[in-house]
Amino acid sequence: MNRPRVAIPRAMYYYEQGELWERFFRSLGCEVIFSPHTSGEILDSGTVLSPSETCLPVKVFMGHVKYLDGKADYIFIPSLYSIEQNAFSCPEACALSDMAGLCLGLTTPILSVEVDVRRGVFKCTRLARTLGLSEDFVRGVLESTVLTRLGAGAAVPSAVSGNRSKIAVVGHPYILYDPVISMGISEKLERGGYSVLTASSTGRRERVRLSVPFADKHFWSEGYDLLGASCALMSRPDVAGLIFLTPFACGIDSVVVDLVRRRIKAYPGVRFMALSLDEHTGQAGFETRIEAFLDILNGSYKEIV
Amino acid sequence: MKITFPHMGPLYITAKVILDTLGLDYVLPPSCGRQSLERGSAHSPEGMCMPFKTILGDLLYGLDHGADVILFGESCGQCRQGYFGALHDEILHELGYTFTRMDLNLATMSYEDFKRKLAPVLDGVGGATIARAFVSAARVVFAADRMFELARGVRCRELERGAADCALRDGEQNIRCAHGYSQVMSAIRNTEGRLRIIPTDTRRVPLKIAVIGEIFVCCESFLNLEIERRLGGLGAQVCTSMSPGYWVREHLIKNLLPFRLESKTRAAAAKYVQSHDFGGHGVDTVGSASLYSGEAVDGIVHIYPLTCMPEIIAGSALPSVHSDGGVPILTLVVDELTGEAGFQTRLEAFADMLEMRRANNNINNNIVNM
Repeated sequence: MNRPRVAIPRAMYYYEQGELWERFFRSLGCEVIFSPHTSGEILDSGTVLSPSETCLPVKVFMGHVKYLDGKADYIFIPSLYSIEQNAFSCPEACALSDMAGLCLGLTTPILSVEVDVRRGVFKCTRLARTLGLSEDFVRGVLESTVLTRLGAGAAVPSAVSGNRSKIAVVGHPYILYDPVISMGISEKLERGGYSVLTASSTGRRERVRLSVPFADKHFWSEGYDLLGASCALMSRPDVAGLIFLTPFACGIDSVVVDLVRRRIKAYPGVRFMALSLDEHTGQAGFETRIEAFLDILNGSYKEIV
Repeated sequence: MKITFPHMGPLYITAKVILDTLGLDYVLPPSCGRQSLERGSAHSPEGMCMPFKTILGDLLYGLDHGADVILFGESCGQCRQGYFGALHDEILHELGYTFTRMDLNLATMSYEDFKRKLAPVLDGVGGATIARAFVSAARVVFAADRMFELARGVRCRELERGAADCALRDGEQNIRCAHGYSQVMSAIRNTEGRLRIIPTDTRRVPLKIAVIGEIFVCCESFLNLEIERRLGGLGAQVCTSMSPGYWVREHLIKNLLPFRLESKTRAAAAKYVQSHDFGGHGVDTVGSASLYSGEAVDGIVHIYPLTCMPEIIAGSALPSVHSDGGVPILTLVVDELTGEAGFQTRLEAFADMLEMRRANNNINNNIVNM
């Protein structure tokens, strides 16, 4: 009997959870495929099909889903309301499966589960029925392969070499680790003579603790990661600058970037730059800004007192 | 202690009645306008949505005029609104203001919660007075809703353009000057009386246009560029479910009930979106669009502030709603740089198109009936 083939888009939650969901589906006896790394065609296709005001990472995600249409029995898009206690996920993370179904005109059906750790709700009834499996079995596999590891953060560590000065690069994993929309920032900074530190150099508990004033309250998971990582990294003596890569119209970042801007005033030796990305961002403009930032770090400009 | 609170359209009427009944001192900022937006924008992150900026502008006014307590209603959830308070605090403290904040979490508020949060100002106020404040507020919020609903019906039929809005303007001025439940209700009733005697063209059958979208922009006429007045001036009767009464019913009253009430709007949305909540009132927007399509409105206007995440998601469902119901939907995105001329042009074009469509449908119906 043919195993069902499930396709997972290599975008958005993939960078933090892709391995977990792959393990989940393989444990259910499915074959798993991923879309290729983001390309210009995938970006363009997603941009054309998505509502114009969605943020760039969601447009890229839609491009990946459209690419996978017709290449598998199902396309998997989870609804992530909350992946840890006391935290929400971005609204887009809840609604990606809905948006894909509404905007893309897909022929391949979408498979989904609902994950809400905050409310203790994990719905996989429809998925179990579609795959012809018992719900209890699917729920058990969900718990053992996915739920125990959610919220651990991106599985991609940053390689930090030697004694070079560091620049902290902060941003959603689905930007930083995407080959196209990251604009190759890490490579550019490494070529400029700096090592790059990301949120994965910090611990989860440290990030939550430093996310003042939200440490004891509810906040977005992405918010804790970005704000907490920024606060942890800006205080390191070997960090010369912090660059925040943010997609235009990101609601979470509109709160977080402002808070980071305020927090970093306590570290006058650390330079800060926020770079806003959308589908119109050009390489030339991006590189100019990176070069200017590196010039400032290298002391090419005198302080105007 | 002197309280201040920000505007969200006519919600100030209800807040006023609560605070008057409790005998509390407060500063009521002027109606939302260019000044509150410009002042708030000057100190806000650029990427924040417009409501954040006008709320900040209102709070600055209140604090400048002697207030030392901020009263705010927040709902936690995926949308940014739950974090307005924290960011406003950082901005205001940086500007040198000191104050106490009282945030009422509307998603989870109870009577005990209200008493506990407002304890510093409720010193000496008895339980009976608090209960009376709530009952009065509930009556006023729905009475105000009815007054604005009456104005919508008059505005599109009035023989003298602007008469309904003139009555409303005077009415709101009287409400601002009124003190307490009886005076505010009297001002509302007088305004309704004045609206009822405005001469109208009773034979006119106006277009029916539903306005849906983000609740703050739907309620606050400055932020929606007075869309109801503009559509009324184009001869359309506006209907909307996004009002302070809706907000009070959905967030306060339903949460206080010991049983769960099914929402027609959410049931209608379920045909298009599986997600039960993606923040704000996004799911309600989808459901409202579907319900209004079923009620055979002539057109729907979907309005929200730039970068509003829940409404962007809801907007992706509207082409499917249109496809099913056949009702044209116009989406308008507003921010502090939105120009009046372009906004008016779009509304005029939409109204023209709806009139032509209605005329064509009538011709086709007559042909069928012959």
